[in-house]
Amino acid sequence: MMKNRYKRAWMSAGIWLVFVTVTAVGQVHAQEDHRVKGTVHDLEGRPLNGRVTCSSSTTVISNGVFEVNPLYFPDTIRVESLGFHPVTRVVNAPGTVAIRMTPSTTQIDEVLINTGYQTISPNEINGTVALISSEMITTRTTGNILERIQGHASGLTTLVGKQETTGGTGVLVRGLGTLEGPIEPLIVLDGFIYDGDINNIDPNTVENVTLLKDAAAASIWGARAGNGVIVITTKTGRYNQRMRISIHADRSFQAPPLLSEQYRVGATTHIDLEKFLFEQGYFDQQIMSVPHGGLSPIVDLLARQRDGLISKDEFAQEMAFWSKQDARNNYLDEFYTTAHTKNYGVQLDGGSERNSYMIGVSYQDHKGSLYDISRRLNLRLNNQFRILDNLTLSVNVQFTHNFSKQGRDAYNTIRPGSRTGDYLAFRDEMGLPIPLDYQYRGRYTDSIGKDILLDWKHYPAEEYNFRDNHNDRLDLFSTVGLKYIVLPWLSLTGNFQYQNQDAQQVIYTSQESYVSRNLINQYTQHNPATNAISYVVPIGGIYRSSDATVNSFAWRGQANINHQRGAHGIKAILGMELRGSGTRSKTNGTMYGYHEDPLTYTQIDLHTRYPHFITKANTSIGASNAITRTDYRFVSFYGNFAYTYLNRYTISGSARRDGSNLFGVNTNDRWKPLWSAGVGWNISNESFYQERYIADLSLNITYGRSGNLDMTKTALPIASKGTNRESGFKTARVTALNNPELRWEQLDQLSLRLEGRSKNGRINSSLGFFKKYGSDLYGNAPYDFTTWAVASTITRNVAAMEGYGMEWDIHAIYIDKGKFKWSGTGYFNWNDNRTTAYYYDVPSTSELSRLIVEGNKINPVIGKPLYGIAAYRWAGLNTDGEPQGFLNGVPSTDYQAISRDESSIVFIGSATPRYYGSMTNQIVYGSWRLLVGIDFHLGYFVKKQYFTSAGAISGSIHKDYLDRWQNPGDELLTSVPKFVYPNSNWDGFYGTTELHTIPGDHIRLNYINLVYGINTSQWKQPFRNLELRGGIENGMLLWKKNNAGVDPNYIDGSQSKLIWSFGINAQF
Amino acid sequence: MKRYSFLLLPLFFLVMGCDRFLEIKSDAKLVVPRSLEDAQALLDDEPWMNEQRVPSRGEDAGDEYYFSEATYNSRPEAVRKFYLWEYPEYFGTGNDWTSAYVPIYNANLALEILENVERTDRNRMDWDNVKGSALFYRAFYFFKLLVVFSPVYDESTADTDYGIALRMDTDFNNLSTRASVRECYEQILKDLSEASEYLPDYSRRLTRPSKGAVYALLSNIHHYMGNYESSLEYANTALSYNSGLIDLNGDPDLLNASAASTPFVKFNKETIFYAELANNFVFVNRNVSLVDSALYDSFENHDLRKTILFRIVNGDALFKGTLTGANARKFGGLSTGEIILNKAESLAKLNQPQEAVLTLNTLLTKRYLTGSALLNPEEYDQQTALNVVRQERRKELMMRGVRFSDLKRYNKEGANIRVIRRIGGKEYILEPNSGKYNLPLPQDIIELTGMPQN
Repeated sequence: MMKNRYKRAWMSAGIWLVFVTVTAVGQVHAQEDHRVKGTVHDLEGRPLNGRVTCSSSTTVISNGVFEVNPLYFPDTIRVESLGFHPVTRVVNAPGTVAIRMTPSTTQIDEVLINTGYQTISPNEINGTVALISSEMITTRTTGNILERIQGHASGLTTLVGKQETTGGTGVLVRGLGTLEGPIEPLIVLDGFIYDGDINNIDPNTVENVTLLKDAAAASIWGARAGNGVIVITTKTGRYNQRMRISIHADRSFQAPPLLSEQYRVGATTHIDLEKFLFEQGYFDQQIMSVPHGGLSPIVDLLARQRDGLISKDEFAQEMAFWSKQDARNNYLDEFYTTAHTKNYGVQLDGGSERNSYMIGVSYQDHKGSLYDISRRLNLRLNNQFRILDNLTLSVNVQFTHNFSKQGRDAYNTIRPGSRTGDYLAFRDEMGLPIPLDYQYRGRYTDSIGKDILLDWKHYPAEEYNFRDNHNDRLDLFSTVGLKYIVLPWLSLTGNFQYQNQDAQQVIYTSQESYVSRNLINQYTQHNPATNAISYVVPIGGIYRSSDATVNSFAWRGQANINHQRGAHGIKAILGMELRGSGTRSKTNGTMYGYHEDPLTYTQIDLHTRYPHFITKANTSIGASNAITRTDYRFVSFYGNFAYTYLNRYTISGSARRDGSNLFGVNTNDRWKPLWSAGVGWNISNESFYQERYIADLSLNITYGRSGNLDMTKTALPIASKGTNRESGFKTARVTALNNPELRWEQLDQLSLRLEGRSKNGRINSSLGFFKKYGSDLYGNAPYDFTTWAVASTITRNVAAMEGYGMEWDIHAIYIDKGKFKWSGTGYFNWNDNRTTAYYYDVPSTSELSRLIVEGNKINPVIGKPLYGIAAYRWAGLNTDGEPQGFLNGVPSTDYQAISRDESSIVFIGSATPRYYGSMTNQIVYGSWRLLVGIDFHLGYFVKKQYFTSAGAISGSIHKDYLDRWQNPGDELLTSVPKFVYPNSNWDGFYGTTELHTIPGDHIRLNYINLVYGINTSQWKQPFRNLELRGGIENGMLLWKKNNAGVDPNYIDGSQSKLIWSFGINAQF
Repeated sequence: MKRYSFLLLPLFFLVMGCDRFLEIKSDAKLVVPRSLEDAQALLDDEPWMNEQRVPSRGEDAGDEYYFSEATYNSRPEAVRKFYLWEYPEYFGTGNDWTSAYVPIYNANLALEILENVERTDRNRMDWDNVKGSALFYRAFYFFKLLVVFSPVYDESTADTDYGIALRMDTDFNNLSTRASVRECYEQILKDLSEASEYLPDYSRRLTRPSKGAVYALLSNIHHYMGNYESSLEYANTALSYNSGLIDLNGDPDLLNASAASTPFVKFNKETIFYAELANNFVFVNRNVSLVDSALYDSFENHDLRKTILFRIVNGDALFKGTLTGANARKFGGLSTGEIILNKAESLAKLNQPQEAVLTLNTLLTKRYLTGSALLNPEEYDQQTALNVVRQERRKELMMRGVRFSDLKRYNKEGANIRVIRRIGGKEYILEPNSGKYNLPLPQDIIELTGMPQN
């Protein structure tokens, strides 16, 4: 406790110290006569009016001439003129200066970067940031905001098909920095951490997106910023602007996926294999089983034939029916459709001298390819009031209503008898729904349930009509900000953010659905003596719902210092933030016997045990209800300063200390200090610099430390309390083993950036290099799990990794002649990473053998990429059709021994792209604008699908089955091993040979967009601007390296189709 | 400057208050277990303390079931190997070793919590129950682990035979070692005698231990060790607490005698302490594990168990008579039937054949059709009494993991029982006293700790 108090005092003193020092600098005065005269012109040489500010005063520029009298030299003067970008210039001695100003309508890189805490111009920050403007975001017409910024900044990529990204966005900034911790960047919306659904943000309302890539830029965001920060800023109104109304409307279409590309064998082959297995007795146990479990249609047919329940003709007829099916087409016919999205939006903005506003409404209606529905309504209200000249209030409210509804059944999800079948059909020749066994065998339930039970069969072609599973989400995100300018160089801001997200989930199945009928039947009580029936579960639908609320709030108080005195400039912030986020969720119980209209329902006895109609086992229905309550709290103190001398040298630093209510951690360990430092050198401002080719050349170097923290990893044994339903006794269960040595993860990053612009302004480029060191990383280390025996590994700070990479981006205007303009942007990235330390208690015979994996999850092996793949060397099939590897250099089928022979394994490479990037070309001709986006991913490997006997036996038969080894001599023609029953002992080996790892390198046409801007200048009111646009999205493969015919992004072959979109934008 | 200093005041207040701001729990259900109530709650977590925890793979290695040729062929490779006693290496959790060490962890954690909770007049009852229970659970699972992983007790080699890991703490940094068989039994017996001082005569629920359970367990342990005098003595004490038996002619605890599902209710009058066999074994799949036909045929027709404990599918007998009330969960706890059989066998061993048979009759009278002739004590000498008791023991205690321990014990005494499997026209034999009777530990545990493998 003493220690804590000491820390607190220290911090407070620190805050004061900085404050006082900064203030003192401003108090020094000296009075001498230093006259500086100047001229101000636009690019055409016309004199301008405006004002000029220096250390002593602000004076008026009249007809392009001014005169100021600075207090000291060197001093910085700032020239402003309406409609032009402001200019600052350092003056070293009395004399004259000539200033040329660029109109603010011209696009130059005088854009402001919003870090979420402060808004600064790019040359005032040493960190590496990227800015994506709203123009780039609206170039694309589909996808959420994170999908739309892809390809518009360097250092940004999306992981495809990895375990770590399941349920997340998959977006990475500058690659990976951890092994077990979270890998995705922090999302910030309008200055506050955004924990809501990313799909709730309407991309059309986004003003810009800033990417904070290196530690210097991100460390201000503290503990969760180790993976970079994506700052999203939404549009606001502007002062002194007349009202503008903008509308947009667009539609897009996407054909159903190409299921026919799936690697399947087709009906007849599938049926033949099931026949073979049936003859081998493979299904006998399933057929005999007591609850009379479901069978696949063919197995059922064969069983009926064997039991003499069916005539020869009937058998042949049914067999013929199934043989001519194609499940892929049947799925497409029954469950798939063309996806269709509609977007509409209206936006109103404007402002007077004291007030600016923006009101926006947008609506999206989406029907997915499985008839799934989602609708989103977005309302935005943004207001800024200049209450006093030095006091501004801003209020921002965003309301989103989201509705989504489950669609039909996706390919391969209907599995009668727990098997997929290439011959599955959902309707018979008459178009009537076919029953397919689900839990119980249809013909058994028919026989026992006659006249007693409801139909117990499962009709996939009808089932989707009888369910209504939907989510309803209301999201309110609001911020209130107050800015008070105390002194010209000091302002105080207070911000408050509140977010409330209410979600309701409904799972409803009507009485006609299999789900309802099944439950009703299971608990139907039948007295054979009297033939009396009673229903434990009443006849009717079943309706369950659950609610979840997420509340988050944040308070932030901040002092902003922006002082320019002579050659010295200082820009600093100091602040503190409290943040809390609470989740409440509960299930609302289940209504049985539910009818929509008239609304009727009842509740039933969940706890008494009733005999099951088929098994007679006594069970309770027992849908238990749950309530959860979680609260996360954070307190942070932070500061950030940048000192600039002579507009040439910048030193910057930031420090932050985060505290959280991490459970099971001693209070002292709840705090984590983070920092960064950087230097910048604006070379082109040096007097020796000859601006021959390159203008605005600058160099920055930064280093910083940020952390990662996983709220689920703890240091004390944590038990979850509950109540045993049967006994009613309180229970406790240790859910996380105590590890007192656990610390936060640490991520250090060194970053270097060189930036410049060609003198004619046509080429603009930056080159960056970074190196990341992750240390104290969480790793799953084995331990003597005899102790706890619940999990065989424990989280420890055992691992380390490093990542390094280069980023190069270039913006060029190739041709700019009259009506024709061709410009391009390219982003090129190189990113490598490797594990540098990991902890293995179990020695492995071969380090490489740890990498014999699918490459779809992080797999740390020292010296190898985080997502690495190794594979067994392939020695072909032997004369018996068995796959061979190498054992001591000789082909062998001793798979056990091969797995222990290091030389039998080869390292294939990284499973994530090492080189990636994008190129955008824009061609403008008069009113036409064509945009083409191409992206590339190179230098990595993916694993394709393959055939195994075990897979085929369990019902999923890969197309390679057709090419398998069947007769001696085939080994010369094929590399697919023979099929064996009951078990081959090489499936594991064969699946991990180098045969199946193929290069993932590919180039994809990301989108093409054509915009036609109708010239409205000749029109009478009201259009100020009218644009028609059309385009295609969703990647056409232009080139791939592998010749296995596999699109690396769609390993299973189900390539999704292009999205066609059409839209209109208007402003008046 | 001074003018604006008030603006910083809120910062100070916030700094002072933020520790309290951070005190709130991140998840309302979480607790760092520290109190007596937490300790009891740990022990009342039945899924971790009682359900599917008792090592059971001995059953897989034993002779109570067999696979048909087709079933054998359709099993995965690991099962086929195990079936023929070629035990495959295995790793991680989800096996006999880890199933049983989970409740041992909870028991150890409860004991560690007690070290910091003072026993007072007010909490005496609860404190004693936690203490006695934790000691009992630990001893119970230590013993069940010994049956599967260690040789049967032999006075002459007990100091050198490998026992199990006597985990007595929750600190995983202390590496496990294999204690000797003697150390293991000494620890178990010490824990149990201590537990008997703390536990109540009867517990509030059969998942919680009681004095009766301690004596029943002591009888079982001494019986397995071959200390038949002690076994008899503890059996008598245990039976003085509970000697109830379900009458198969009709009983409130008997439901659905003819149904395909299990006939007995959970927590019936025969249960002294409730526990279930771990679900790591294969015969839980009751559609494929066929009961040895000779064993099934040995039930006389007036023996009601023949119909109640089994169902017949395609001419093969399948077992359904477990005491858990659910067929997928096999009973692995302590029951009065087993204690009566301990007593009968001990009496026979101690050369009291008449008393042995009379004791057996107390069981059979609840198993036979009312009015059937019981055994005549006059007809038995020591050997024939022992034979009939052991035969009844096999019939009564099916699929509880007991048969495997009996095989080990009988063979130690020289019974020379060979377990035979026939596959593909070949015979595979588990020889008496073979090392295969001690199942292997998880391979990664061996490599992590350096403990010797079986």
